[in-house]
Amino acid sequence: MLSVKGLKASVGGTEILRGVDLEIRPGEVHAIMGPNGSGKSTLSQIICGRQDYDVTEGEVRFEGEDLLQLPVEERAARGIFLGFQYPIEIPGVSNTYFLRAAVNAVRAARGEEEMDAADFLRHVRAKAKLLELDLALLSRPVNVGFSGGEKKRNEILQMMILEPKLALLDETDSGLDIDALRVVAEGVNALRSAERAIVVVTHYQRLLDYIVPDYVHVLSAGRIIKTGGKELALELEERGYGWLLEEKLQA
Amino acid sequence: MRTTLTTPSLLEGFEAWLAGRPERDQPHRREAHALLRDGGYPTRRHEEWRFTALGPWAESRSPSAPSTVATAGFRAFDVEGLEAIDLEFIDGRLASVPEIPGVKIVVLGSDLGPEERPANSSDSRGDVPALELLNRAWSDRGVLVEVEPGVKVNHPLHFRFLSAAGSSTFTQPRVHLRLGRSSEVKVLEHHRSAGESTATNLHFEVELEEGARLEHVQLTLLGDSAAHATNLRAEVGRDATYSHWNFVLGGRWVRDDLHCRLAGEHSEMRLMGLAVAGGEQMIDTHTRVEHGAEHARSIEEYRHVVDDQARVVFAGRVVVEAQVRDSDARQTNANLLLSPDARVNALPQLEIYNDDVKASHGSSMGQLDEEALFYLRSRGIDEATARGLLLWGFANSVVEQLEWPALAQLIQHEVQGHLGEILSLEEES
Repeated sequence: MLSVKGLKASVGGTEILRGVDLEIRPGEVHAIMGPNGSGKSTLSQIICGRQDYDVTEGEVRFEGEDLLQLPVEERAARGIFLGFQYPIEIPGVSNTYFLRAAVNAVRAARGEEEMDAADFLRHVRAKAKLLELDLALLSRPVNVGFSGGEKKRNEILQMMILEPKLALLDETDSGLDIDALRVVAEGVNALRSAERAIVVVTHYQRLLDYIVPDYVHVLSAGRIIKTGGKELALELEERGYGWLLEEKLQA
Repeated sequence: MRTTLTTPSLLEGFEAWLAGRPERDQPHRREAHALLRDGGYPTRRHEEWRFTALGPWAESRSPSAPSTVATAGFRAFDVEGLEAIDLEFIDGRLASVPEIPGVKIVVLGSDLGPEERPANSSDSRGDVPALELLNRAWSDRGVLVEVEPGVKVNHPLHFRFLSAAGSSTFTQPRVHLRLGRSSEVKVLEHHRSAGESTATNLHFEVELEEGARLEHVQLTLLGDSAAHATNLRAEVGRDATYSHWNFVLGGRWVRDDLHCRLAGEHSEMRLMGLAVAGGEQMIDTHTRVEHGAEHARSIEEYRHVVDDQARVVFAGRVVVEAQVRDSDARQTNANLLLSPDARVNALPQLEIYNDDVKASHGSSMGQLDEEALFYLRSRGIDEATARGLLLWGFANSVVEQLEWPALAQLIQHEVQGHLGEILSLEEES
């Protein structure tokens, strides 16, 4: 589904990704872990379509198509979704209006008809309830005055409504208490299916107790230095990243 | 200082005009006129008039509009879903006086009469705004509306101001709105024009006695060649609440001077504004918020969307007087510039003369937020639509705070119309 090969990217002449290879197939859940500044967020931002980075080498293909040639909104229409680490506030635009504009844009790009307004509202309310999101937030401006946890839940709500093929969740767990973490994880797990892949970018193992990954990758200094199963995350939690870096140096 | 510029005919023809007025009004008219003549007439050399010239709208014009017949123009004022009591003004002259229980309405004519004469008309302070002086000298029409104490007027008052007299007239109407103790009313001050090059200088005086509440929406939807000035003076008494909303969505030249004073303890005031300007529009707003009593709060928020060669001036002054403790004054001003030729001059000013004050002000100027644009696009919304949505959100964040649904809907519709024009032009180019 997603194929990243030899991806190198820099910002203002500083190389951040130094040759990343990653293969993601439908149905899989991947976790990308790593210390601060390792390039985790950069990788997900580039896949999503952020133009602030210079891709100097390598390629990113999504279902065979060269993703880097597509503008961000077309990537979303193909089924790529990024859950933002810091969701953006949009004053004056109601959450429901925004969600509807997004859904209809994606549907139009796929040649599907607009969703009926009443059906759409029912659908959104059902999902919001699942995420224990205060329904009043649906008519409020996007993320304005939302707590940290509400913003993250709102990201997951958007994901559930847009039903992407590939969901990238960038540090969705940061700033969440344990209850919110559970609710968010349940939302993500509800989306797990044989056709859909999920990439969880995180600092801590904690989230992975709830969203159990098939693969764990450790990104360090712009390279994936280790790939393993879910047990790798536990090992990282216990031993930190230091031993991996040494192992890498010795190799 | 005597003005050495071309003397406008408003000044020249004064004595002749005055001769036809009732004698008892002559002194205060003459006083105002003298202040104008001796340097008070607004020119670019006055700080308050640095950016905007009154000249073309005042010079070679007479203050008395020829009497125009009532036209069908008032249909344009209708607001769907708004049940209101209409007061229809043609060039500032009230067409007919509605009967409203608990509300006294007096028509002000050429003879202002001692009772109806505005309370401050005889003061001799030197800081009277030029627009007010013009109106004092020349006004020969208007209305006094008095809400009796304790009366809650259950329908909004809809002031329908139709400017119809064309390029030879600079109309000078006045409205004096008094709210007695604990009375409540909603007012829609609605300006439209039906002729070419109309020009009006409205003096709007508001007094709120103890515990009174007034929601006052000023909606300026004039034609492309019209000029309009509102000189608002508001005095808010103890425990009284005044909300003023200023939506400027049409007009060639619009100047609003709002001079609002929190005069009683625990009084509150909210000044909200939105202008969407394009073409060669000039929109100049000067506000002055005075904290003259303790434990009072003021909130001010003005937003402007400026496109093409349009120009916006926002001068917002907040004054907290000495001895006035526990004051809370907040002001924000945000501007979106959509074209390289669009201009905004933002002049926020805080004058605080004691320490027990919570005050803040902020002004922002710029284009649409790139981060927000990326966020919307990452959800599949194409760039043009995303820009439109952000633009809409910027403007709507003022409108959505108006708790007057029928009116909010009309304003949103007007704003969408303007933004739609801006966006479709962008796509073409």
